[in-house]
Amino acid sequence: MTLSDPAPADVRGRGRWLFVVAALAGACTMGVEIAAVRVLAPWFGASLIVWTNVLEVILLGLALGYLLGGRLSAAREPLVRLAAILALGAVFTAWLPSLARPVCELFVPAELALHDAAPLLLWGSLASALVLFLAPAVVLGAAGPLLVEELSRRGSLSAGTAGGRVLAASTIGSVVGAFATSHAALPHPALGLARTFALVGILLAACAAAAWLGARRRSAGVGGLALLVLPAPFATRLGLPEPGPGLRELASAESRYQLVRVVEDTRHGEPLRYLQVNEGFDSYQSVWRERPGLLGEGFYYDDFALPAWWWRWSGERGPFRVLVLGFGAGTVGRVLEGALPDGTELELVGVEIDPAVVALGREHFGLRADSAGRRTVHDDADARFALRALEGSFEQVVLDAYANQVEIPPHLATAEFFGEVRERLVSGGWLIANVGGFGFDDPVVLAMSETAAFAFDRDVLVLRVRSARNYTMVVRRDADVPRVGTPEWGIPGAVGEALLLGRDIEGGSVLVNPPDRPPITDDRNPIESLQIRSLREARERIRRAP
Amino acid sequence: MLLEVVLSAYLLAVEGGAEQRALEALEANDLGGALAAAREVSDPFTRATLECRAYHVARDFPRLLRSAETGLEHRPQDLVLLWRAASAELWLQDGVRASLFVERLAEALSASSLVEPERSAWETNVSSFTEQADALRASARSTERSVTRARVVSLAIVAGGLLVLVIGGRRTPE
Repeated sequence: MTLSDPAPADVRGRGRWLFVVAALAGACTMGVEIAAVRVLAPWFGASLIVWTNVLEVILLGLALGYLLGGRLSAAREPLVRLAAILALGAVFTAWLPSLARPVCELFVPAELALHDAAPLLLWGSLASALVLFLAPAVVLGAAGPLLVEELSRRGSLSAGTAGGRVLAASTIGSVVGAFATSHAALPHPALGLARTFALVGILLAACAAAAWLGARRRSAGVGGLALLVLPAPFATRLGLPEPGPGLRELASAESRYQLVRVVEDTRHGEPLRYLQVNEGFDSYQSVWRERPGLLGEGFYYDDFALPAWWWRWSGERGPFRVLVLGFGAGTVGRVLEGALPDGTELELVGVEIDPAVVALGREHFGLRADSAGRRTVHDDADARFALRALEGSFEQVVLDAYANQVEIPPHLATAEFFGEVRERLVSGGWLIANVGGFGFDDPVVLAMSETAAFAFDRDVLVLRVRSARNYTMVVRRDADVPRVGTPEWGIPGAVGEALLLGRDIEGGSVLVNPPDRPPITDDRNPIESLQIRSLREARERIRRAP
Repeated sequence: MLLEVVLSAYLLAVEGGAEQRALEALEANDLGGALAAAREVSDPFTRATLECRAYHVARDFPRLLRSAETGLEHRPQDLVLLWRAASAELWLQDGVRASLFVERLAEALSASSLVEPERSAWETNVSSFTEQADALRASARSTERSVTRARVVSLAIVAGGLLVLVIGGRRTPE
């Protein structure tokens, strides 16, 4: 400062609003970070790989932004630079969802199969994140040093004090932004993902306007930039992948957890409906066919009817109580209702974490309430939490819980969890689980079955699902699973033929013995790295005899 | 279907015993029984053909391919085994290997003494398989291009960003 400069204004009177800008910039940074994965999810899923890539990109952008802000802060009027930076950030962010599809399509080929997806999960999501989110992160990072410089020039605050207070305000803003984005903005029916970004853009534009008004010299260009944000809430759209050849979208929803849609396939006569969740690959989470019962070859859900048949074939009678963890849109219930032995009194309890999925199930998948109380669905409930909270025992527990397309939630893969499942089964009761994989020696299939075998202290029967990338694992409390070639194995009639075809030969099933130590525990849980390895080795593994 | 009937009739006429039992087991979807009976068949080509049918029903395509390749060592131009092998490679989504079997199938078909309508039926199969194999190869090339593009873009941007950080961090603003 020199004698010809105007006298410094009172920092307490004219500087506090800068902390508000810092807080809002922090809130916007966290909002972008959390919502960013949801932008990429329809193309690459929302696995740990994608989350890590997004975080890396945001952090790199912030680092570059801090450097840029430091250089810009040497200007005569930092506020002018701040206004320009924030206005640019506002425009980037508000219109970002509309760029998602053209950018992601550059890195995702049409009809990508899951067993070829591993390299694209890493590189495709990284490239898309860099192109979409690096620039906004740089801009948001640059705001901090400019705010610090403005505050320290205004009055009695040293650079250190100004820096500390700006960081504190920004971090508090980040906390608020994280909660607001996850719990309020994204799941709100009037907002959703695209409008959340538009809202962030509007907040940044408001900050830009405040900086612009606070500057002595005002550039019309900055005002113009900020105005570009205004149409965004009405015009910006999140570009999604096409449903796939021959598929028609019936409905879609954004929930707290994911993007969900219902598609219908009428190419083969009888319509089939699929529930897709963040789907970027050839996979789905729930299936519907008009008539309840077995779905046919390629659908692992049919295997969930096996325990009831074996149970009945062994002479058991009475109510058959089934707990489904990962109920989805109700496919398991529909299969069981149509495929169980005559006279079976089915009582079904379903647990599903995402209420939006259950709502779509009610509307498009025939999921109905049962007035006799024999069909209960607990939505908005975590499977492990529900397992502890529910009362009663069950003849069968079905585990079909997947997150982010290909990931078993880590806390649903441990020896302790399987031990808790065991405690909820009657003596002789059955656990049957869907495990996605590419061979009996697939890292995930092997680890899950060995862990379950350890927890139950029993052999686990692992069945290969024909024409699918799935395996079902079966284990019993206090009893052995049926062995191939024994009288307990066979199920009479068409159902037996449909369910057991090819399972009695080499490559159809294996028995996994309890190991000395479980591969997966609550304390040591490598399930995510095992899943990454499973995808990387998929192409090679599917060529090996199962 | 026609081919299956023709093959079954041929086998019944020429050999009995184990083959008969294997065929009956296959008709009854008793795959374990079919494979056990097939192992007793002395002729390696016949054994391989029976195994391929069983593994096809079981949808165990790697084992099917092993059996098909064994059978083709003895009869390299057998249409049924070539068809099964091509079909298996298509299911495994390997366009390159599927194309090789489809080409062999087309050559074998040209050299065969088949007459209409069987010849047209086979030619339709070959055309369909060719299309599917070509689509798989195109898809594989597209995936590879996407991965390369993603890798180049990622490394370029990250390297550029790190360079800016290093250079920018050294220089002080005037």
